[in-house]
Amino acid sequence: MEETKHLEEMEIERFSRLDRVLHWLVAITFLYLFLSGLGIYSPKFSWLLPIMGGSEFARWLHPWSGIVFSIGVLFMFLRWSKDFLLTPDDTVWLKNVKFYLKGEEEKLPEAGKYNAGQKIYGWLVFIGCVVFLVTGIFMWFPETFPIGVTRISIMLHDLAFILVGAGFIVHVYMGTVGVPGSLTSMITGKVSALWAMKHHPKWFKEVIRR
Amino acid sequence: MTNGWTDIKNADLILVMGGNPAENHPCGFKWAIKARQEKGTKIVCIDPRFNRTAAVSDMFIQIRPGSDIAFMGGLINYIIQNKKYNEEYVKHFTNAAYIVKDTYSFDPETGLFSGYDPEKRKYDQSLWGYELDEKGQAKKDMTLEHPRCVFQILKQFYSRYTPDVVEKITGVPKEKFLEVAKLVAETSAHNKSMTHLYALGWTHHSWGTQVIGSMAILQLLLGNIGVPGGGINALRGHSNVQGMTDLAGEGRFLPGYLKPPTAAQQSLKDHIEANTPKAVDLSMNYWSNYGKFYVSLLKAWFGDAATLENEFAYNYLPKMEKVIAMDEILDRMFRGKMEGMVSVGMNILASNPNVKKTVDGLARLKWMVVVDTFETEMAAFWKHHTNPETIKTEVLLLPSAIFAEKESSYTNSGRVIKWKYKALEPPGEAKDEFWIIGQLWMRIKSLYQKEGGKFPDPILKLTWNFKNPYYPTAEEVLHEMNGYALSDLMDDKGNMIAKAGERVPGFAALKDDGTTACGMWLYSGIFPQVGNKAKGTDLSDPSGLGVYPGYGFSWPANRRILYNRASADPSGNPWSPEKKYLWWNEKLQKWVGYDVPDIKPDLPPDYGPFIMLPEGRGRLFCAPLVDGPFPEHYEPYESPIVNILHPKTNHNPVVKIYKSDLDLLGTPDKFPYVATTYRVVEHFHYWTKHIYGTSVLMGRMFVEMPEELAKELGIKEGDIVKVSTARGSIQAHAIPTKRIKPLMVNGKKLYTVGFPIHWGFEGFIKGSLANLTTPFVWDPNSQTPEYKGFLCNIEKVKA
Amino acid sequence: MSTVTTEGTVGLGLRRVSASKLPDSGVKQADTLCILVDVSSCIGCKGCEAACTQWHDLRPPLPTETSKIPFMGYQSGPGLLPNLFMYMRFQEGETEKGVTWFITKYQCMHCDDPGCLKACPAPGAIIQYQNGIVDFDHSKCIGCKFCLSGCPFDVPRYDANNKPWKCNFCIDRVSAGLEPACAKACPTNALSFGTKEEMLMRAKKILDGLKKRGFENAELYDPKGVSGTGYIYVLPHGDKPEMYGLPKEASISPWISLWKGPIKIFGSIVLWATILGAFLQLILFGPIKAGKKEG
Repeated sequence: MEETKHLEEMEIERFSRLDRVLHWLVAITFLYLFLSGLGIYSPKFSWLLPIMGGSEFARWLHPWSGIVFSIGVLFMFLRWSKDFLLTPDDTVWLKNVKFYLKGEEEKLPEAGKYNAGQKIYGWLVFIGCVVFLVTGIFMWFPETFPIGVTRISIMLHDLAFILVGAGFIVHVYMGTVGVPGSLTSMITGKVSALWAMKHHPKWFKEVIRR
Repeated sequence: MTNGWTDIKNADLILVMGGNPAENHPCGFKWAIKARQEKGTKIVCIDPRFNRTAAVSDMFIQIRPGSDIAFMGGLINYIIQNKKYNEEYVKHFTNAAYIVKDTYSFDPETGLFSGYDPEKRKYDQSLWGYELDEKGQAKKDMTLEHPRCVFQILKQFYSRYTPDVVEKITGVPKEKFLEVAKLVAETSAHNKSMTHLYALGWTHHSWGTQVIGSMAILQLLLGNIGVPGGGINALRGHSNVQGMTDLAGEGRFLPGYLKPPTAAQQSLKDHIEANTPKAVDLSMNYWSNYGKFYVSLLKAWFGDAATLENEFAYNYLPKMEKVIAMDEILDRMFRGKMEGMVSVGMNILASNPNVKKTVDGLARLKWMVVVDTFETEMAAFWKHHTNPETIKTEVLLLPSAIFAEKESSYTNSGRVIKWKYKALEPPGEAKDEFWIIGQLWMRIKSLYQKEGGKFPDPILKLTWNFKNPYYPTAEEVLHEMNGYALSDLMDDKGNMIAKAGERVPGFAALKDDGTTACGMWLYSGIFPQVGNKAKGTDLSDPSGLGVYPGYGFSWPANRRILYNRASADPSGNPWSPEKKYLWWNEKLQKWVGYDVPDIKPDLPPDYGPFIMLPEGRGRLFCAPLVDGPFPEHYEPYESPIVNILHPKTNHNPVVKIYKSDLDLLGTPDKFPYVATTYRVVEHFHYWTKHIYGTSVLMGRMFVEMPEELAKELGIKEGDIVKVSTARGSIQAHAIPTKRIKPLMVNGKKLYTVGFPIHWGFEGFIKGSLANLTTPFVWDPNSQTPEYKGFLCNIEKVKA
Repeated sequence: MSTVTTEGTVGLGLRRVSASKLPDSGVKQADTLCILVDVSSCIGCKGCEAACTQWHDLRPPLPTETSKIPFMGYQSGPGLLPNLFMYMRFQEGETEKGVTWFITKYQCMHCDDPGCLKACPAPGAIIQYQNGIVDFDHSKCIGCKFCLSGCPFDVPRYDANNKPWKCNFCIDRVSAGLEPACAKACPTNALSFGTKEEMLMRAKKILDGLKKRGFENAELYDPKGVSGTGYIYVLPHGDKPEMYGLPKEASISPWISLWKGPIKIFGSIVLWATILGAFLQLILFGPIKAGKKEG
């Protein structure tokens, strides 16, 4: 118990200042893209657009946010992608993801800085961003490109939206309610040693070793 | 037009040759389309290039520019050789049976008719008349077998134009020619008719009048004149150019085609005698009324000053030495023999050939007044001069109202005079011509009043009875044109026709004793005492033949089809139920039908239908034309080949040759391609380039050429090319096209190129003046320039 | 789905409204209107083009020597513009009849099943009136340009504010009982205006005439792929619609249909399922806490 308490009080830096700025830059632009995109995508959510600054404005800001988002994701990729490389353990982890959902992480291979789910989400964002950006440019300037390209782009943009959107929902859930302490880590940059040991034991050990 | 626009829908065949009505008369062309939509009429288009008329035609024939008479000669020959003519019509309604004097001859070797004087470049036309009997009547052979009857010499004359010769001259393959000939021949059937539509594509030649004459021959042979859906229909180039011609817009005429006095006609009596023909057959010979129209005109002009004693002030009229037409005006101007010029609504610089010559000429004037809606090239001619600082010409530009900004009338190609109303006020300082001329006249008059002058009477005594003399109204002018009685007029039976001061009901009421005044006999009846008929908008057409008698007023006497008596056979019965139009009612002893009879209504059928001619019959042989009684093929003045019929007389021998430094002609070694100029539907002359909307529709000048030629010269669509002739050159964008094919002419491969005229150096869109390239050569009958078929070279300037 | 209740801008009954429920067509009824383009009678005079720009107060750019507009021969320019709702196309070709000049009026076709309207995400920005006219409502348009992707005929053109412009069938004139400006201006009756039914009958007559004149391939262009159009064409060479600048098989792109159909359903399922999944995790297992086991 003592030890637990001690671990709870001990803080480990998980995200540097730059990491956090990058994350929130991408997060805020994505949130705007997600909500405005949702409003454009589905008439049922068209009520979102007035909230986003007005329908026309939201449609106008959407591609520009996309540019900022893409730049953020590019930096993220440069900084984080090596941490997202999948290992054989990750495959095992993924096969047994149900234990994770039940909170029985000990039944899973030890996770590094990021567990397999996070890594996959990371790649989803990276690949999704490329799709969003490329198709988005075609959609932005439909008069400049062959119209067939724009038509396929709209569809791909949508598919990417559905998949990345679903990942985003999971990410937000996990980052807030699903895994307590995660949100704080992205705000302060710090996690408790207990949190680290519990959720990312391999990474924790590496940090301790250092 | 002999028949009018609305009548085109009655045709069974529409032959478009020498015109491009779809582009230049799109609104009138609707009747051609209607004919096809409603009765399957065929449209045949014969032109140097596949134009927008060709695009909707059933058959297109590409012809070499300047070879039309050969094609027509071929058709005439085909009709005669295959006996496809309407024999009864030819016998009774044409001069086919007339015997021609033995002094007439034609030498096919030299290509000359008898009586040619090479010094004066003139024919002695008196050698070409008919043989008359002791009563002064033309001798006839109704069997048409006399060797000197018109029919026989016609047959012999055109026997040279075999399909092979046609192919050699025109470049039209024999089979194609025969296909057309067959279609044309079918319309000699009594229940069929062919209409011919032409415009400047025929008049713009050094033999423009003759080629139209060749169509008159063909249509007379086929029996297609005077019948619904027939006729020879000149599609005029401006909305009101017919009105301009009727009202003597050219030097050859006074209003209503009366003649100006010549130097030889010092007394009115001489003049009237010289111009009153004597009937040579059973004919109404309507020009026998010449004196009535002339005296009424003088009364309209000089009122009380025109008395029986002073020959109705005939001495007020200038007597001319010779006809001064545009060619002569331009040449005199160029030679510095003119002091000033007033131009109203024309662009003398852009519209005439050899622009360089015109620019030099304008620079030699002391002053020039241009009354126009825009600053035209003419008004700004100095911009086109090599040394503008040396020009002393004072240019006065008077801004004038555009058509919609003034009330007046139009006379359309179909001779229908239609009133139009003012739709809006002219902008800025622009004024309509009534105001400009009223002001000008009153000022000139007051100068004469103050200063006298050599001969002030014609000015001071001119009738100017307008409520506001400074600003006459259109209807006041129409009143004078219609004519009015100066004392009570009675007919033969003592019935009142018109009280003194009232307008006359028509030209039949005009007199030569000074009791009537009429400014324009041909329009008389347009504004009877009851009201202005040009204002009529009645669209009812009881016969269904497109007569529309209540729509406007058609000169003469509201007749819609000229020579309509010929729509009935010699005994007065309609040729066929389908073409029933006017017929002799035995019971009433009168001509009745759907239109105003073009003959005295109670004149029996043995009188000829061509009432304006002393023969009363249509002329297959037409002696009054200065360049020959039969149309003969002569090459254009710049021609890629030598006349294969008679190399000795390559060109029309009567054409006047001007010899200034700038009147140059090119040869095929330097200028190998045949060029033609034309118009496009998007533009109206040099005018619409001043208007944004129409400038957008067709912004850039172009040159169309066969794809094969473009390939040879390495030219692609849109490249800038230079077209040069002996006179000058233009630059424009190239359009290599499938629509103009290389032609094989007498074994030689020939390329035709063409470019539209509408551009200039003023307006929203700018481009070369097409007429920098065109030759200063004019038709000797009508003084129309030869814009179609001249030689040029083409080079690529830049891609 | 929302239901747009306003009747467009001119008070005519509505048939379809973008991104909205189908209006109740039982209330206002109207015949479908149509312009028949009889290409065989068209002389390419551009009277319609002039009338169109004049009626709509348009000022397309001047193709002067210094402008960058490419030289297009007889055409006024390369094609439609935000300030050019229709233009005449000119194309030369060879057919069994020899040289043929394909001259066609080109503008919005007013499809019965409009691809633009289908693609439009903004409720009410594209409306189809009961009479078949397809129109844009700029006040509701968000400027996404999806209508261009939806259009099988490459019609909408965008102004500086990304608002689309196209032929609106002169709805202002039509709703006042007048014919569209182009049909009014046509000198040869190559354009006729009436109900679709009437125009189909007239087209049949013209086609019969053409067949008699030897145009065996003459056909009516009224593409089934978009359930027919408001502009229908009698093509003398009906086997070659592409020479007239008209797509041989005109239909809404399958990508657009896929996007507006199956993928939309798929997306709804995926996204809602994800939310539901997250919620289930929460209530079934609760948050994944760091100190859970110890507790």
